[in-house]
Amino acid sequence: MNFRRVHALAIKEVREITRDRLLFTLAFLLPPLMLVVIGFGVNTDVRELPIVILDLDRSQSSRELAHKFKDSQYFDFAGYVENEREVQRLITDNKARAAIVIPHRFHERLRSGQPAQVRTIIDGAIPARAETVGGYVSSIIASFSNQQVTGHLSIKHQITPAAASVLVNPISLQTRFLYNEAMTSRWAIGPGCIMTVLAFIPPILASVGVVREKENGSIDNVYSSTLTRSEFVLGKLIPYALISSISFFLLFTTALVVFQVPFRGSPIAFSVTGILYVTCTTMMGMIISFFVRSQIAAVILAVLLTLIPTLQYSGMIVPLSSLSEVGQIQARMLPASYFFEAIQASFLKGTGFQGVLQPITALLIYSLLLYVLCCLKFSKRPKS
Amino acid sequence: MDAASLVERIPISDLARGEIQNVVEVRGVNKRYKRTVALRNTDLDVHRGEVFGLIGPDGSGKSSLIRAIAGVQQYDTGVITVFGNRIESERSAEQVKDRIGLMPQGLGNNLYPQLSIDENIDYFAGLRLVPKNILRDRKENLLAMTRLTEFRHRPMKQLSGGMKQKLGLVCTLIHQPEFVLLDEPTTGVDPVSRRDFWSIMTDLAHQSGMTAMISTAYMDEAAYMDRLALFMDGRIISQGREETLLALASGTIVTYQAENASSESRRIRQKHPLVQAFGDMVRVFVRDADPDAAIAEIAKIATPEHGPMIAKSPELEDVVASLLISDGFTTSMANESAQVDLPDRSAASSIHVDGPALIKSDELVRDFGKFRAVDHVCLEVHAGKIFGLLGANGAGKTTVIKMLTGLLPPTSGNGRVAGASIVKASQVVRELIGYMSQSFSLYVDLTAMENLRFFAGVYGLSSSQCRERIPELVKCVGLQGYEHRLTADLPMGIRQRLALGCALVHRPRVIFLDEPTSGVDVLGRRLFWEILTRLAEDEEVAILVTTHYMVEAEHCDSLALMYSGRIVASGTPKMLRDNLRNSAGTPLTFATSSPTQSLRIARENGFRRAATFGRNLRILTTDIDRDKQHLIALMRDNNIEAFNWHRDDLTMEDVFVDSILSQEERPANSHP
Repeated sequence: MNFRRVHALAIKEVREITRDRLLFTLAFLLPPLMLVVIGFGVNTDVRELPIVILDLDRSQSSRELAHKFKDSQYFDFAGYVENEREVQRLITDNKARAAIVIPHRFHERLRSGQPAQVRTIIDGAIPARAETVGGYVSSIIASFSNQQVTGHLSIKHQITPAAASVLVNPISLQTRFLYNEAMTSRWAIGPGCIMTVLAFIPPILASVGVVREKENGSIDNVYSSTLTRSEFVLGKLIPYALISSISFFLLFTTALVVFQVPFRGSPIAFSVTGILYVTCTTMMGMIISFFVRSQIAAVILAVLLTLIPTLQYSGMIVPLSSLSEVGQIQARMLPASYFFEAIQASFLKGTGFQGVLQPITALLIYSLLLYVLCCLKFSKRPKS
Repeated sequence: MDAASLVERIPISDLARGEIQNVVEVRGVNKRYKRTVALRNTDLDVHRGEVFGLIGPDGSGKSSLIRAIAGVQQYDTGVITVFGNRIESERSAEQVKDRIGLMPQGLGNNLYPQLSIDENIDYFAGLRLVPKNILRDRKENLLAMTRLTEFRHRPMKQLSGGMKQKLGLVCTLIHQPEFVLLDEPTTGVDPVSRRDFWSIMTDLAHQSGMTAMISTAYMDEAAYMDRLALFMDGRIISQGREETLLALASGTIVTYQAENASSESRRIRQKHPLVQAFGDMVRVFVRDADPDAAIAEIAKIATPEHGPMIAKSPELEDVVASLLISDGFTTSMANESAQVDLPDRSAASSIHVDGPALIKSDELVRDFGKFRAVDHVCLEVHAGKIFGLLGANGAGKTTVIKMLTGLLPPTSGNGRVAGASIVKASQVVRELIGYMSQSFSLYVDLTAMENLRFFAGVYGLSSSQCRERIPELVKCVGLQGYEHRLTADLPMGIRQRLALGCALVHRPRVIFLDEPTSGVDVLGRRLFWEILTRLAEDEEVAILVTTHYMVEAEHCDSLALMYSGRIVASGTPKMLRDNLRNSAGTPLTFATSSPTQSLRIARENGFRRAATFGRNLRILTTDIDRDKQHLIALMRDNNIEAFNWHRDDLTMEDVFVDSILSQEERPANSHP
């Protein structure tokens, strides 16, 4: 290993990237931009859903029920409608996500102790959201029923509403969400995005960095010189891993400052994990570049081979534990799963250095294996 | 400055001294790619200290051989030995790489556009572990030799083609290799830079003891080579010294004027296959005949109204053409020209009145950002005429064509093509013209016939029109026998004619051809020009063609020479030559024992246009006797041998070089 050659290659690479406007943008501006766009754009919180009410009863009880929905933070009351056709139209036009239909004689039946039926019509286009909406509706209806029973009891038995409530609900449930009390989805998505963005930007940069030289012929300078395989891989790896590390810190800062995600772990340990992670993804890009000839193929392959498995197997969307056994093994073969573990441990859980020791070890082994693979796969005397 | 004084002598290692005299030995090497065979049973030796040339058209296998020798690409079978070391694996190739320098194909392609000259050199020096203290001096020397010193901080992307080429050379030489492989270093470079490059290269090779292998597509560069190999279709058809190769096909070239040169040449072809028509001149290669016999022979069969006949010895290109014909190559012109439909309409077109101007450009300008690619270009092409636009890569030829074909709006200026304005009616223009782009825009996965049908469909021919037009085209461009072959499997020459056929489907009155002959062998080029000449003469088509082969300029009715966006000279080939003859005289050439020193002495003594060609020095003179005596005296005073004095003809390249140099010498140039 001759470090002067590695140095010459690395310096040349840094000069090229920092002077090429397109590469510079791709390397430094795109990652934070993507984080902001995805972080603010993707919101899995189901809140302030537009809801309409078809009140066929127009009674005191029906108005009380409607008020329950109007007061809820989950729904945004979009007005009363006159008939079901209108409900259909509003949902089709995305002006309402759900509707409540209160039937005739609702008040009368409630007063006379008969069961009253309330229907809800929900936009089922996105099943996950529809399920959540359904849950919200039924909990509001349940709480309304509860109120009715409690009121009824307190009048009948001459007791306070509080005492009546205890009779009706002998068990009361208190829920507390650990780490993310308010269940702000941005807190989970922000750090997850760091992983996603760093899964495919470094491979794109690195593969384009090698393939560009193949495409225009300057790779011949490397082939025809005495630069060894390992020097070449290292000389290319250092600048690209360095750039991606800078972009990692940019993303880290963005998550903390822009998304206000609480950070409870060890910043040093997390940074080490981050740097190792981008080193791995950079080398994945280099391996891709050894098999393709054009920059466009490099970009497409880099995205396909890194982004999709990362989304699938990192644990961000589907928890690892709910994958099949084969799936879990596959997930463990990706660096993303270890980095995601570190993200969870460092951002919200705050487990300190100890919690990320395992990911660090795994990523370190991963980097070494990839380096060896790169050296084996790069040929200075190709077939064509 | 005396460039030769800057050359460092390469220290020959003890190891090397003990080695055999052959730097490279190639024995029975074969190489094939998926679809094509690149090398067939190649054998050659490169001796220590010589400049060895590989000459042949693009795709003939030169690059594959160079890359195999440099150890940057595998070959299939055979043995390659470099410095006595067999190149058979990556490991064995590494053994000699620090003694080799490779400059790959493509002008400046191995350099880094964002990096300055200095930074590019430093990168190569770093890769090659040139010690810092040695690097400083060597860099200064090489930069001085190539006259790049004052531009050293300029980014490579802002250099001209000639400067990129010289920087490429400096980078290749920075570790002082004992053996350099240069792959088409002069392709697409303007003639001034080309001469400059060769004089630097000759100095280096002769002064430093370096061995060089250089490939080129230009036959005339054989003059610079000590020995050379002629490549064709993956085969070496011949190798040796230029004189040896010239001796392979003895005979005489007879040139004379004839009223209708193209029909005259068709008649002469019956007996002498190697005949060409240039404007109103006929040029015949009479095999195995001395000058007197050749003239007598041709006088018997030539038209009675022929002009005086001049006999000359054949050039390398004639020899190659002759070898190809006798070898029975598939692209052989003899059998193909028989297939090409050649109606003899000499009577109808014998009197040429200038037709209407079908292409006319008026002060065309095109800027790309701050860069002015085309600078006030005016030209006019009449019906039935061939107009040649000559210039180096990046001179602006393609940009002019793109503006005239309506593909690119001009920044200012106007033009009319077939009567329609290129600015206002670019869509109309496109329907009236045929355009054959640089890369032959054919679909390689379709057969020749399918390509023709596709283009017929694009231009909206009905199926009955197709039935009539397509067989006509097949005949016109000589595609018989190739109709149902995949385009990817066709030889370059045939592909080029297919591309021409596709551009002609809708019977355009104007055709634009952008570097149609690059990558095509001598015979293919000759046949192609014959087809073009016929199109112009018989069908009154106006043709605008670009090329960087100066010899092809002779086929054009009129020419414009472009240099950095401007037309620096224009007129008919004869007019341009006559002008130069009147202003600067005719060439005088002599061989010398020390070309570099002679060049310096000649330039210092008023022969400003002196240039070296290998071991020869060439000057332009209006008074041969006086200048010859002057030079003989000068050489004698400096103890330089001078011999083999002879007169040459002015070439288009001389015209071009003179135009560029006078342009550059003009003070207070308005152009940056």
